Amino acid sequence: MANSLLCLKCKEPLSLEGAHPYKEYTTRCRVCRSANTVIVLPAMEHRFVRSQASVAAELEASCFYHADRKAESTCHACGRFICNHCTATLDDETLCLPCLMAIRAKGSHAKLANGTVRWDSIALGTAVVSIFIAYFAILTAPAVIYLVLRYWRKGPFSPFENHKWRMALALTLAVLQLVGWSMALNVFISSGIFKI
Amino acid sequence: MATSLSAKTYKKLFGRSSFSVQKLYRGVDHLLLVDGQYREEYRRFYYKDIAGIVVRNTATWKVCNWIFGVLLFLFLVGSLSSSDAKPAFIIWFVIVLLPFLYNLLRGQTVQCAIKTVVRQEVIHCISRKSKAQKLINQVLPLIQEAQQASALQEPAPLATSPFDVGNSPTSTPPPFLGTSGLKPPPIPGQSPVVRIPPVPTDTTPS
Repeated sequence: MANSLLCLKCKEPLSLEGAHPYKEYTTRCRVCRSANTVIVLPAMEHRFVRSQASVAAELEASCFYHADRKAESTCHACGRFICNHCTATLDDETLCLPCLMAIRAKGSHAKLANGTVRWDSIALGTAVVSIFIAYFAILTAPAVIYLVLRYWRKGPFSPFENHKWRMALALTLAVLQLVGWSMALNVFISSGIFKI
Repeated sequence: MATSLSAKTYKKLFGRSSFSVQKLYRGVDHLLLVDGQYREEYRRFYYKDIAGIVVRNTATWKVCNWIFGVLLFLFLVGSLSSSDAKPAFIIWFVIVLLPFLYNLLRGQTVQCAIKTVVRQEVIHCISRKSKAQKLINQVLPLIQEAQQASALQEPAPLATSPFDVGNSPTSTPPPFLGTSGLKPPPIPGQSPVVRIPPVPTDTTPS
């Protein structure tokens, strides 16, 4: 399962007999008979191998997390002794798993960044939806203005999209909606529908 | 190594398609799949870990061509047979002709997936055969280079530790492969187990 390509229609393993590395090869799924073009690469042969952790002898330094295993290295971040099972490498630095998770939670490392909330899209989406549901604009327009002012400089924003024009557009729409609401309220009050 | 994601280190391969907001970028040592509208999620496919690419032709292209073709034929027949409604039929003919040509010229629709050692991920932004071919043409030399270098460096298996960052297809480390009979590491914040050496017993005869 792990080392076979799956049919894109029925998710069954494909037969790769006759396929050569780096060459396109068309094979039919044995189950659904659909034709899949595959390119097999040498990494297909790689296997994950469980790391070997030695048992700690008496009076020998043991892993901080596994008292019965021999410490093989030291975490670069917290300095704890760790065994092979607890070792992670990041940019040639040895780390223990909690430190790795802490770096990931902080989102400060490019290799570990796994997502960004796009406040520019949220602000723009809210502002656009409020055009069609104008009654809510009195609530959403201030929220959009808050989002724009809050996240304009600091972010977080997508590194791949230009967020500023979205923010500017959302701000413009929100301000226009507030102006429209204030004009509508003015008309209502002057016409006597609302009495203050 | 950059400490934060930067668009400068990536080259955009494919943008969002009709039914997908996914985008695919080419990095120095990996492909980056950016998914999501309001929350972007990043998935990395390191060149040294890519085990295969699968492409399958789908029927969408043919079905759309048939539907648009039949409609075009009906409007053409209508415009030729009817004199009163001829302008309306011609307008509808032109309206349907545009998506027909758009679909026809973009080529065969496909589904494309990238396989790594641990999972096979369908790339939704690659929806046409030309795009799949472009991916293969651009990425295959990089994969070849990375995997040959990897094979020269490490004749032994790829991953000696399941937690090596960069050996997994995503930024998420693989699950802890605990040995039966051994406890997994404690949750951070809890007090760790302290190993106390046994007290030596005095066995020497007095």
